[in-house]
Amino acid sequence: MSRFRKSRWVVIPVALILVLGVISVGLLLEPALQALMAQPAPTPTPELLNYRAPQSVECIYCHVSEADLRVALGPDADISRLLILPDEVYSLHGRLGCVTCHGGNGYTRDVSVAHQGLVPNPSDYREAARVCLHCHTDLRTDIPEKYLHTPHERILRGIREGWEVCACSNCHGPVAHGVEPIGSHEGLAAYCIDCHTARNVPPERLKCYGCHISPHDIELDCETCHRSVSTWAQVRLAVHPMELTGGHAGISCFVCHEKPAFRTISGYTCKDCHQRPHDFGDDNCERCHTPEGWSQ
Amino acid sequence: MEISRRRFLGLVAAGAAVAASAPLLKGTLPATASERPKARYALVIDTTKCTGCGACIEACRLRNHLPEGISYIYRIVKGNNREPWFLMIQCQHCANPPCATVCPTNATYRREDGVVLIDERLCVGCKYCMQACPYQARVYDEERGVADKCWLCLPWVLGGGLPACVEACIPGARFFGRADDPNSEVSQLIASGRAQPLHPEFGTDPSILFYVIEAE
Amino acid sequence: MQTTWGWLPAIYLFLGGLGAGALMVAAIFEFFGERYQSDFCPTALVGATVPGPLVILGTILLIFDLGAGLREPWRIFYMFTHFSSVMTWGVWLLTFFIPVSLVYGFLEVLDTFPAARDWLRGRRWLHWTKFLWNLPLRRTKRVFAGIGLGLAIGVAIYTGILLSAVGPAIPFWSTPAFPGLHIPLMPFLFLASAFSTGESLTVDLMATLFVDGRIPRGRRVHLIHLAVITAEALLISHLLIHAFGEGGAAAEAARQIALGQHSLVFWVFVILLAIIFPFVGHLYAAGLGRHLKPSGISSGISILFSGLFLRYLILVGGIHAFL
Repeated sequence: MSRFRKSRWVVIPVALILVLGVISVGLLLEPALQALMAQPAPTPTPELLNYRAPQSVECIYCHVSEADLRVALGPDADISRLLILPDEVYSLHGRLGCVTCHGGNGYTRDVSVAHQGLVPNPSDYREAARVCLHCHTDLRTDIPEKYLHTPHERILRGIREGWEVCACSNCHGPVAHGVEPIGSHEGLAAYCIDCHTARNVPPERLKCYGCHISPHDIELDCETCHRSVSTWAQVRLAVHPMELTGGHAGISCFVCHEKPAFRTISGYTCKDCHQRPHDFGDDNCERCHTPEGWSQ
Repeated sequence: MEISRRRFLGLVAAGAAVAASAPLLKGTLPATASERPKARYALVIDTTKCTGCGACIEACRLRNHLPEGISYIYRIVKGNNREPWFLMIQCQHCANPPCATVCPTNATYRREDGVVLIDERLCVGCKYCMQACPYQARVYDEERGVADKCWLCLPWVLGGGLPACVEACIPGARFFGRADDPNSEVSQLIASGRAQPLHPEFGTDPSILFYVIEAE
Repeated sequence: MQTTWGWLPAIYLFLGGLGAGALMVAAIFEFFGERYQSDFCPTALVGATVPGPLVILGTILLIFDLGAGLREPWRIFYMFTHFSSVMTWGVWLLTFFIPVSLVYGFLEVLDTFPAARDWLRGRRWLHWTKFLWNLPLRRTKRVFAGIGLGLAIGVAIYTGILLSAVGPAIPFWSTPAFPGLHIPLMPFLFLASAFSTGESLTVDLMATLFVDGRIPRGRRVHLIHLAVITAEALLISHLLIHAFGEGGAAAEAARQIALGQHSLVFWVFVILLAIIFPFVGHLYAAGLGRHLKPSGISSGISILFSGLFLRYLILVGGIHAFL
């Protein structure tokens, strides 16, 4: 060693080797040291949509042509849900592309290959969680401004827990196939009633308040649910403290009652309509006041 | 030279008439290239409509032939589990881009219409721009060894089309157009005052705005 | 943790800082006369000769870290053009630093080994350089030492400026030196670390190993190193405290370094090895006037390790601002 020490030029390579040695040891050490420490757990994030619109190019070629579908399925088959009109391709849900919801393979016109992995009804309760519910994350269970419940709460629970519930398209139709997503009131109500009757669902579900939050809050004419308004003149005293006789029988309900709460005459007293409490048109004081207490 | 007062007044009147009609004349002359309205693109994203589905991310990936799992757009989930909302982040095409400042080869530049592009013939792949972008909007292309990012689908846009992300947005949360045209949808959204840039304190002046972005 | 710039940039930042620091020490020894206490000064010799190869190696590693710039090397010429970028300043500094340090190293070799000087002078194929041999060696050395010192300070600082120039994008890197003042802290930290590592290589290691024990040495250099170690400690603590206080990404970076996944490396290999242990060692050396072999070698190697790990930790702490 001392012989080396005498050659002073050794300083330079020794210095270089020391530096390179430090770097090499550091490179080896650091990953090992880091592995000793606790690593942060990656945070789970919601999945992204498997958007496949460009991969849906070839689906169109059969499904736009009625003739091709008839050739494949026969002249009597129901092709209403299989035929796609060109406009529907650019609709809100059509823009997703066939493969995004239905799966399969949109790169080929060979039916057997194209339909591999096909999901015929992606809104079926077994598929909906992956398809419809991927984007529609905030389904409303109530529509307060229309005073309506929606069946979504129960259906979502059914999807989560694996019950057999209806598919989204049962009420909303095949939305990417040119059907307006929300059906009309008559259509929806009729569908609900039909299906529930067929499956023997408890009758209270069929009543108005199964869907409507409070029957007197809705924007319908009274005659829609009540057969006649004029018979209210005979409403019993227990329900309707004042007899609707005479001048009261002919006025509209809404003069005294305010929607939405029919049970109270909100803020109305007799003197709201009658200016002077004692100007009732006749002298039958006993009608309101009794000898027991004129203050009544 | 002697000039009569009448003559002088006449000359002044004639000169004034010419000067007054000059603006009229200007209107009838064809506009030169420098006087035509310059395009200025803007993209407004409505965060109340965005469902975070990621169709834009996939559409961008597919149009630009990017490998699986890589896109020019990425998603940030904000809010909580019960009521999440989403930010889709891509190159914000800033008017004051820090990436252009720090690029040693001047490969990143901003066009007059607001789009920030990368000249991939100049990029050396040092990744300094990836560090300098406060929105982390840049990705590194391992194959070509250069930095890459959203380019607002410029060939499609210049041809009258739309960027892939705008076309693909299912809830219709993306609005793209010319901010220099006061009648365009984006101009009206911007004029409403509710379209804000993301993190203006970064000082980059982005061309991408978020509508009704909620304060933290 | 930040992963875009990883180990390779950490290594070449370390090499650049070390080379710059070593040259600084050699230049200071030259100007203050320490060099000429004897005809063989290992500190000055190493400090003059080693920076050139080290920075060349660092530059090669930098080029390997590029993407397209590696496959098409002519693109690197474009890196000299964009002066708004700190990286462009850096390539210019390196371009001048490398030849200057190589020449300075060569001159120092000639000065230290007169035999080599005579041998070279006698070579026939070097006759065309005759005019150079007539230049006064010591004065030329001083000129190159001066230029080298300036360039070395530039090389040491520019890496800090490079990191802090990203501004609000990476809050940890752009931590200010004083709260409210828009002067970043990183350049000062990098300068202190560069000088400390340079000094540790040239003095703590080489001088301790190779200098004859009989030659009297002063305590000045150890006191200076003590001051630099103290400054580094203050800067690192200020960096972390301010980062914690800032919140957001800076606080997350500081938390990962001081408390989280990097804490073992930080506390043992940076704080213990770079600050505490060398501080004690240099106190002892300052008191004694020189390093004892064990103290010098261990201090030197510790500081070298910590210089490398400090740069690595600063890089992985460069977490982007939360959006």
